[in-house]
Amino acid sequence: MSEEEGIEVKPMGAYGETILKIVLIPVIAALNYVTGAIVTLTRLPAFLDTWATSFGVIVAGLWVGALGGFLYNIIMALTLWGLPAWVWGFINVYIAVITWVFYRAGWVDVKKPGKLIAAGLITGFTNTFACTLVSVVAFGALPTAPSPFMTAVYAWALNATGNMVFASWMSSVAVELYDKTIALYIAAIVASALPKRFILTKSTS
Amino acid sequence: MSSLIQLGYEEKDSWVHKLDPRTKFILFIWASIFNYIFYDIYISLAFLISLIVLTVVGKVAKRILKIISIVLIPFYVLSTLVIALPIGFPYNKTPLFSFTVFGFGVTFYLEGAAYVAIWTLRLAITMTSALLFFLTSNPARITTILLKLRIPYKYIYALLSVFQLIPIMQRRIQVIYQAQVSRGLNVNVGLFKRLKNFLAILIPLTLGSMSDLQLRAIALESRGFSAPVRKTFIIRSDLTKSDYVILSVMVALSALFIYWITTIGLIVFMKGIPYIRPAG
Repeated sequence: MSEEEGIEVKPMGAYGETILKIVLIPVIAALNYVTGAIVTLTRLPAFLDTWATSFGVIVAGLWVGALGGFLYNIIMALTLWGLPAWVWGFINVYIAVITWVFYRAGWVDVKKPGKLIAAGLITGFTNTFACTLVSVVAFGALPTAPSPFMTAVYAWALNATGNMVFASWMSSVAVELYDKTIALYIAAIVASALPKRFILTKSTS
Repeated sequence: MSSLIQLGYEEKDSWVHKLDPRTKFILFIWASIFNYIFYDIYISLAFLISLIVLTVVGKVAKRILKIISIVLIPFYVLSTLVIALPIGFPYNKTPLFSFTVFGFGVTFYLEGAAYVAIWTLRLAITMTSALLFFLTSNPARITTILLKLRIPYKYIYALLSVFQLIPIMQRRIQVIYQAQVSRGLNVNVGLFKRLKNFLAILIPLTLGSMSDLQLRAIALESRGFSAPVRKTFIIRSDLTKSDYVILSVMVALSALFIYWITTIGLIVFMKGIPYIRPAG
């Protein structure tokens, strides 16, 4: 049974939407969390653990995406990364805000791949500064990712400049640009595959 | 990495499990803060050993040590190779040892090795104390405490339900993956195809989760999720004598640490190694 078959679907009230949005927050956090498992299974050389934050913004609005993303980092801080890593939650809040800005501007749309890629690249580049800040505060500006590629970029930049903060920023640039672009693209693709009854935000178009 | 962890509290009969979650959470914050203040391997080691003793008493040592080693050994090895070797760490001055690789002399430096060791220990301590709290604290007791602190129930639900959702989703990923493999999904392909494989798993997982959303919302409402009434508690959580002992030890040690910081500095026992800030 579906809307297409002629069944009348009553619009959901504001109260029902609020409950759904609250229930969606942990789903977003869990989707970000389990993305690591799918990345491992499919052997993708990326993190992609912010895609669900962007997806939450598209589906249910800024606050749902931001809270879901922030909650994901709280869970990671309590389980794998330790206390200092909770500040990474602000990166997810930033991702939510910038996704919301681009979504409202109509750039987060699979039918506009040029704008979508540009939005991803801008998100990734601006995010490198926040990542570097967290890396310095929480990890002593050491090479944090267990990736030989990122470590090689870090070693090259450190060798060239002798500056650990710059090396940390360079290794972020090497990954964040494509990682955030792909993550935003995935969020847009998955949101476009979703039946309209699940979309709790007003369309921008 | 996130797939490595077996999430969740396990009911066990131990002294650590009986401690109030508030005590363990304060221990987690307290240990993390002081370790990020001191720049001393000996103090960090003393913290780590004490925490490991608590994990043994709490019967969660095996799980925690497995997680810590999986996360921190690659971090330690890669960081040491970059920082302790003469690649560019500007504070390297004192040769620790040298060896020859393919005819090239390679020297490890004390300053770089100590810097990586201290940061790795800091991370080990904060992770161990976080996991000790998380794996030995009953979620029902945490809920009771958070409600007592007047945190709205909807936020408590959001926090605690993630831990139920993650294992459900992890099982679903396996089911979807097996189904996709039976339809010819191949992981030994190029980057673009791997991205398509990723979506082939992610889209069914997300659609399934969104379908569950409405069911979950209805189920919650049917049990008065947002009813404007005062929630009652099945489980009580009160501080015991053991909690007061742990809290008193933390207060006494804090006084000692503050005394050391004001009289000796941030390096108390470790001699001959300069204090190094990441930003120089």
